[in-house]
Amino acid sequence: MASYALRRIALAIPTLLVVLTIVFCLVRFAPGDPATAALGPDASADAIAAARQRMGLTEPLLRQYASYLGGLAHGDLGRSLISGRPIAADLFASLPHTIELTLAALLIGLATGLPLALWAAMRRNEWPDYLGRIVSLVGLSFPAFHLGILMILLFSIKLHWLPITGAGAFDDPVDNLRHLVLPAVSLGLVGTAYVARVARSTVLKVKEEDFIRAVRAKGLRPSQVTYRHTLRSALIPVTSLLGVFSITLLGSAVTTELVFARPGIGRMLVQATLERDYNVIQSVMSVVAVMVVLVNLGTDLAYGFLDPRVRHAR
Amino acid sequence: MPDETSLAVATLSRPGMGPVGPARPPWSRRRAAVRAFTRNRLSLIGLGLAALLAIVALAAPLLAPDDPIKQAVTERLAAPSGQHWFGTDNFGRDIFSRVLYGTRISLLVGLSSVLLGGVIGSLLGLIAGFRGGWTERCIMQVMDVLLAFPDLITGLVVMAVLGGGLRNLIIAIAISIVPRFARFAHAPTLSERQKDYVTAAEALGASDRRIMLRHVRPNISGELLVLASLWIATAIRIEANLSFVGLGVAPPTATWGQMIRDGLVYIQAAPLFSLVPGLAVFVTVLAFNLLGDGLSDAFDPRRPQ
Amino acid sequence: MPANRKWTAVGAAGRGRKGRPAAAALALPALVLAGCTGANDVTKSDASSGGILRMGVFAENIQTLDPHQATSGTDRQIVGRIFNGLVRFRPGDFTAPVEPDLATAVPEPKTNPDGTQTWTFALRAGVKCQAGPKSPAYDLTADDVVYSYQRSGNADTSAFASDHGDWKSVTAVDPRTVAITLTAPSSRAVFLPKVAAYAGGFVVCKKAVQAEGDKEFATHPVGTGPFVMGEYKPGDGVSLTPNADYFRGKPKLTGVKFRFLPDDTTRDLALDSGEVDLIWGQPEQQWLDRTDAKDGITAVAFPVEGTVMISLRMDKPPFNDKRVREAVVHAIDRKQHTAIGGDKVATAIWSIVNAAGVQGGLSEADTKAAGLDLGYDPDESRRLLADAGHAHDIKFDVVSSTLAVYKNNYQILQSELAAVGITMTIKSVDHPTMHTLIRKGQNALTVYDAPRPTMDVLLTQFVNSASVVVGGSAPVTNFSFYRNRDVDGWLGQARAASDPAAQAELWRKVNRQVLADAAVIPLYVGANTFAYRDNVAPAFKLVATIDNSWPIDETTAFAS
Repeated sequence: MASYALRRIALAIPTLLVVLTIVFCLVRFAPGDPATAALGPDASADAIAAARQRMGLTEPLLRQYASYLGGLAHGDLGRSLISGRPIAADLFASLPHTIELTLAALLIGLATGLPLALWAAMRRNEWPDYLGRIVSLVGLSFPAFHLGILMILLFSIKLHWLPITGAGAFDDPVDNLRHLVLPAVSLGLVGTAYVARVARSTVLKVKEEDFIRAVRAKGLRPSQVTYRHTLRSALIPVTSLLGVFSITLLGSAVTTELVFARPGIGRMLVQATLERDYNVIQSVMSVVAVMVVLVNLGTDLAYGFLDPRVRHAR
Repeated sequence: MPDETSLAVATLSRPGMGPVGPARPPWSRRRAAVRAFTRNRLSLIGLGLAALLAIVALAAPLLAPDDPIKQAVTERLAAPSGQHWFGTDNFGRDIFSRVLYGTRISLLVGLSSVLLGGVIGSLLGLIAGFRGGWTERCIMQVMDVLLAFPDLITGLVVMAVLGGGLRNLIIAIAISIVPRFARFAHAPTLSERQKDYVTAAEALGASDRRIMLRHVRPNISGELLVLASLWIATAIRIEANLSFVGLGVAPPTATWGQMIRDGLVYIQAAPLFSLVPGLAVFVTVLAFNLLGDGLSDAFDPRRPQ
Repeated sequence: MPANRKWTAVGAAGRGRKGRPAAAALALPALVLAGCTGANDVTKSDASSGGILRMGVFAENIQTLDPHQATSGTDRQIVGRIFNGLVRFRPGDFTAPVEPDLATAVPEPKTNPDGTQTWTFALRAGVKCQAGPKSPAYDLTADDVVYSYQRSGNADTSAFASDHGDWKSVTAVDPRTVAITLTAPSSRAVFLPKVAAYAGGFVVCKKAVQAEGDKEFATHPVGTGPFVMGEYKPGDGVSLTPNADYFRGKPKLTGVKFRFLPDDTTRDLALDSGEVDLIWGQPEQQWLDRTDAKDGITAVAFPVEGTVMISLRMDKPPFNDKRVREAVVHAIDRKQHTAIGGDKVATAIWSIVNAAGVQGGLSEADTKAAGLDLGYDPDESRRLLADAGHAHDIKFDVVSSTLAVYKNNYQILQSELAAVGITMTIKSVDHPTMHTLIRKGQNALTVYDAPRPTMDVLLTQFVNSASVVVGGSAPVTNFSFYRNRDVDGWLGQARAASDPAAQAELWRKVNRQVLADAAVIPLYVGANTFAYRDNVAPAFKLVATIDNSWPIDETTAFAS
C-alpha cells in the first residue's frame, strides 16, 4: 500500500504543474489584450503600454510564470484587474461556502441514492426498480438550476418556509443550515441520480458474481448475503467514483450559487468571466485545479486501499 | 453529467480494461442490438422524442405562430390565451414561438459540439493507442487533465477566453467532450493492437491508419453511438447552463437557458415564462439520455437491464 | 407563540456550544421549527425603534465608496450616509430650497469689483471627523473643506471635476470659514448643488485621506455623517455603524446593512421573508402593483427628476453622418420604452429635461413649433438610411449592464433599429463595468439614466465640450462627443444669468440645438421604485430624490 500511495502522490505533483501551466497559458494567450479590454478602444498607445506594465504583462513570460507559481505557493493570488483588490481575501472567504454546498449535496446524494439503489437492486423488475430508474433518469436530465428555481417558487414564494438569499454566517450553524437546505437539495438530486445509477448497476453485477452464489449455496440467509457481501463489494466503485461525483457537483454548484444568490467561487468565476477579469479567472481556476488534483489523489488512494487488485496492477 | 456510469463501472476508466462486450462479428452484433433496442419501451420513447425534437427544430418557422423576435412591449407578460398559448415575455414576444425556435439552438449546439469533440477526441485516442510511447503519454496526460475539471467550469473558462456567441459556445462544449472520446477510443485500441492479426498486418505492410479504420473502429462503433447520445444530452444541459449564466448566444435570439433566466425575474407575475423553457430542456435531455441508455443496453445484453 | 420561544432557545443553545456536532444534532428539529415560524427572523431585527436597518440593493459589489468617484446608484446610496456637504437637499425632496449642512447658514453671494463672485460659508462648531482605520477622530475645520473641494475639482481624483469649471479659488479664511470664488457670477440654483451633500460637494476628512491614500479610502471612507463605515464583505454587503458624535444627534438605528442582491427575484423574496426591511425595486408597473398588494409592504415610485436618453457618438462612423442619426431618432417609438414602466414610473420627454418639471425644457408641442420632427416614423428612417448609402450595412456593438433600465432599453432599441435595417449587437456586462467602459468611449450609441440636480448640471455634463468622455478637459458623460461652440456659450451665459426667465430661454436654446443636431435623443423620465416593510415607513415626504437614494439618517427608526 505504501509504495502505491507514494507512487500516486509523486504522480500528482507533475499533474498539478501541468494543470497550472495550462491555466497560465490559457489566460496569457487569450485573444484580445487584457489592457485594451480594460482601457477601451480610444486609449492612447502610451496608456495601454502603461497598463500592460502595471498588469505585469511586459515581463518575460518565464518571469511571469515564476511569479505566478511563487505567488500561488504563498497564497498570494494577485489583484483583480477590474477592482484592483487582492484576490486571495475574496476567494478564501467565498471558498468555504462552495465547499459546504458541494459536500452537503454529496451527502444528500449518498444518503438518498444508496438506499434507493440497494432497494431497487434487491427488488429487480418490481416497482422499486422502476422508481429507482426513473429517479435516476430525472435527476440526470433535470437541470439543477431549474430545480432550484422550482424550489424557490414552492418553498420560498408559496409557502414562505425557507429563506433563499445568501449563506448565513458560519458561526451560526442553524442559520447557516436554513440557507443551505434548498440549494443543497436542488443540487443533491443530481447526486442522488448519479449515486443510485452506479450503485444499482454495481450491486446487480456483483449479485451475479459467482461467489455470491457460492455463499448462498453455503446456506447463508438472503439478507445476510445482501448486507455483508454485496454491499461491501458494491461500495468499492461507488467510493472510488465519489471523487468524480464531487467534482461534477462542484461544476453544477456554479449555477446553483447564482440561482440562490449564494457567495462562492462559482459566482466569482461567472462574474470574472463576464468582466474579462483574467486575474480572477486564473486564480479561481488554479484553486479549482488544486482541489481537483487533491480529490483525484484521494480517490486513487481510497480505491487502492479498498481494492487490492489495483494496488498491484501495472 | 453524462451517464458514463455503466461504462465506468465496467472499465473503471482505466486504460487496459476495455469495454465489456461479447466477441462476435460486428454485423451480427448489430442485428442483435437492433432487436434488443426495439424491444425496450423506454428506448423507443427516447428515439421518438428525439425525432420529434428534430422535426420541431427543422420546421420551427412553419410551426411557430409568431416571429420569435418581434417585440410588442405594450402587451408584455400577457397571460396564456388563444393567441399566445403560453403568454408573452417581458418584451411582448410569444413564448411558445420562442420555445420552438430555442429547439434549434439547443439541438444545433448539442449535435455540433458532440460531432466536433467526438471526432477530434476519437482520433486522438486512436492515435495515442496506436502510436504508443511518448505520443501516447503526452496525449493521454493532457486528456486526463481536461477530464479532471467539471465540464461547466471548463466551458465557462473557455468562453471567458474566447468570448460569447454561438461558435464559441460550440467550441467550449466540444473541448469538454474531446477527452471523454479520447479516453474511450484509447482503451480498445490498446487491446486490439496487441492482437495477432494486427502484427500480421503490420508485417505485411498495412499502414496504421488502415488497421485502425478497418479493425478497431467497427468494434467500438456501437459504444461510440451510446457515448455520443449521452453526451448530446449533457451538451444541451451545459448550453442551458451557460446561457443561463449569460454567456450564450446574444439576444434577441431565443435560447432556453436565456429564457429561463429572464423569466426568473417575473416568476411570480408570469411563471410560465421561466417554467416552459425549463421543461423543454428537461424533455430534450431526457430524450437523449433514454436513447443513450437504450443503445447501451441493446449493445451489451449482458449488462444488467 | 410557543414555537417561537422554543426556536430561539434552541438557536441560542446551538450558538453557545462550541463545536458543530452538538449544533448539528439540534439542527434538524430546529430547522423544522424555524420553518414554522416563517418570516420572523428574530435574531436579525428589532421591534423597538433602534435596530439594524437592512436594505437590499442591486449590486454585485461596490465599485468605490470614495464620494468623489462614486457614480453608481449603490455606491451613492452608501456614500450619502457617511458624508456631509456645506449644504444639503431636504431629505425626500430635493426640489425644496437647500438647507445648511456643515455650514451654519446658506450665504448670499458677494459680487467682487473684478467681476468674480464669492460665497462665504461659516462652519458649524463641534463637527467631528469620524475615526478611521489609520486616523483618529478630530474636529473638522475649514482646512478639510478646502482640501475636499480641491480634490473634487481635480480630474485625477474626481469624476465630478467639470462641475468646478468656473471655480477660481477655495480658501480657508479662518479655521471656521470657507470662501469660494467663481470666475463669473452664478445663480443659487446652479451653484449651491455643487457644494451640497452630493457628488463633488461631499466633504472628506483630510487626515484620513492622507493617511490611507486614495486607493484604500475607496473601501474605508471616513466622513462626518450619521454613519461610520463598518465592514465590507465582497459579494455579501456593506455594514455601517452609527456615529455617536454626529452633530445632528446620535442616530436612532443601531446600524445599517446594505445587502448585495443583484438578482431581482431574490431581492423581492428577501423583503417578503423579512430578511431585509427595504429594497430597491424594479421600474415596472406590474412590480409596483404586485408588491404594494402584499401585506405589510408598501411599494412606491420615488421620482428622480432625471432622464433616460440616448447619446450618439458623432465623431466616428456610423453616427458621424447626420442622416444616420436622424434615422435613429425616427426609429424610436417612445410608447414601447415607457410601456415597461407604466404611467407611475415613466413619462415620455422631448428634451433633455422634462418640460413639465423644470423651466427650460421642451414639450412635444414645443419641438413641433420649433420645426423639429422627432416622431416615430420607420419609413422615414429607412429613407434617410438609403439616402446616406447605408440601407442595410450598419452594424455595431454596444455594452449594456444587467440593470433593468439599461437591459430593457437596449433590447427594445435593438428591435427598433433592426426594423429599419440597423444591426446592433448587445454585450452584457455587469453594472460597474458598463459604467467604466462607456466612459472610455466604447459605445457608438449610449443609453444613460441620469438623475441630476439642475438643468445646468445635466446639460453641462452631457453636451458641453469639456465633458466629452475621452479627450474632454473635464470628462463627465458627454458620450456623443458633441462639441458645439454656441451651445457651450449659451450654457455659460445661463449659468451666470440672474434672471430665471432669461436662464430658461437660454436652456431652451441649448435643447433645441441639441435636438436639431440629433446628438442626444431624450426618451423618458423615470422614477425609481422602492418597497419597504411598513414598520420602516419614512418620516419624510416622498417628493423627489436626486440620486436613486433612499434617505437614511439619524432620524430613521423602526416604528414601535
